[in-house]
Amino acid sequence: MAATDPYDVLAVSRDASQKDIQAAFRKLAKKLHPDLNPGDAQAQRKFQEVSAAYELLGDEEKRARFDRGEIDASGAERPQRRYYRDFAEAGGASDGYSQTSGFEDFDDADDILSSFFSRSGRRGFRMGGVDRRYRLEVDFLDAVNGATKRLVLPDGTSLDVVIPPGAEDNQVIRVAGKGEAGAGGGEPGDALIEIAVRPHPFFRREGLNIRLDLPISLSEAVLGGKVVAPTPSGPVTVAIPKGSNTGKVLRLKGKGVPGRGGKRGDEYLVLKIVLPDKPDPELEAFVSRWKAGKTHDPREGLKA
Amino acid sequence: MTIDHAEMCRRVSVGRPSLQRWIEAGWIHAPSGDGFVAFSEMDVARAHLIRDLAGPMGVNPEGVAVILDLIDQIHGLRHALRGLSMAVGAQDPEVRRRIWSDAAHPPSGPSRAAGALGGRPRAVL
Repeated sequence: MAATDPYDVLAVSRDASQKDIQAAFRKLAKKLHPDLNPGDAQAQRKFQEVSAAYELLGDEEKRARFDRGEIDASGAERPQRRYYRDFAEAGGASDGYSQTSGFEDFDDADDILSSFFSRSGRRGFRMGGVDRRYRLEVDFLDAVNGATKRLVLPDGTSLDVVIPPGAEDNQVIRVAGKGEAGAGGGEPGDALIEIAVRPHPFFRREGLNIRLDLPISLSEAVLGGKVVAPTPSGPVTVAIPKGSNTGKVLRLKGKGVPGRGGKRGDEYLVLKIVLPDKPDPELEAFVSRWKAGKTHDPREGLKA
Repeated sequence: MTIDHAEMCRRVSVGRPSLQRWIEAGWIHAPSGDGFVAFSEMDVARAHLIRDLAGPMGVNPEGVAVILDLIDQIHGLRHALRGLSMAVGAQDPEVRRRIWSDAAHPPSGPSRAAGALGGRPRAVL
């Protein structure tokens, strides 16, 4: 981008005061702001030039650096900005901002004319509606198993969103035609619903698999037995093998998250031996009589 | 990406209290409902305009309110006018010619009969 001298752009002298520069900018901005000149296609380019010049000269420190030649007028390229006028006219009465009060007194001009205006004339030019984005929080199990959730839109209408089984955090669901209305018979935009999955108190999700710490009692660990473990699709009975240690992992095949093509992940149970909350005299008496307990060293592996 | 309050503030380079004031003044429509927020790109562009006005352009809040109101009226008018132009444009050339010529020299008001004062017959829309 060719760097025009910002002093020329704002039409101020090089020794102008900050106040003069501000006044010059305001005068030009009033004339050139694209949203104050909705019909002027040139306004946008000119306003951007003026804004860039003011950004440089309006800040005393930047201006001094520019005067010393430390920075040039091209500055940093600003991200493309969209002006309000790009949206406002297309929306007609449906955008919630534009008003018809500018021609309500046309009533006596001509019946056909006034009825044309008062139905907000959404005819003649077509424009597709803009997509609307939403964020929907869903419970962990609703995401895993699938659910239908009702979303109340800003205009008061509601939308039933089908959460597919196995939905992931940040997944976006598109509901066709539920965005903003189009203009002049244009297609409405879509609703894009981003799913935010709430964490679960004890299930953890790893891809299509579910992990769960499963507490077992000392006697279940030593003697084995059948225990009930929760899964996303309901409780199942699991056989704990004799002599199961803390950290042992049991796999429940097909009890994880439904994936594409009928595939289903697994649930992994990580066993955790839990002693009774209160000290138990019988257990203490038994363990103190248990000889092997005194010679067994579970920290063998930690020795250097 | 979802445009929530934080994203709106970031994109428009404005503080949360200012955005809140604009929403309370009815200048920006706030999203409603729980568990989600949703400003549109249009809301962002409008907030940008408000920031330009209230910031570097030095317009006070009362002025911003007047300007927004007029801009909203202009867009309503432009929208209707564009629709009308397109409708006229779709007419036969002769009808079009009569409409534009009448628009440049409007026939007398409704109280006078059409054709009095030797006027042209009024175009039929």
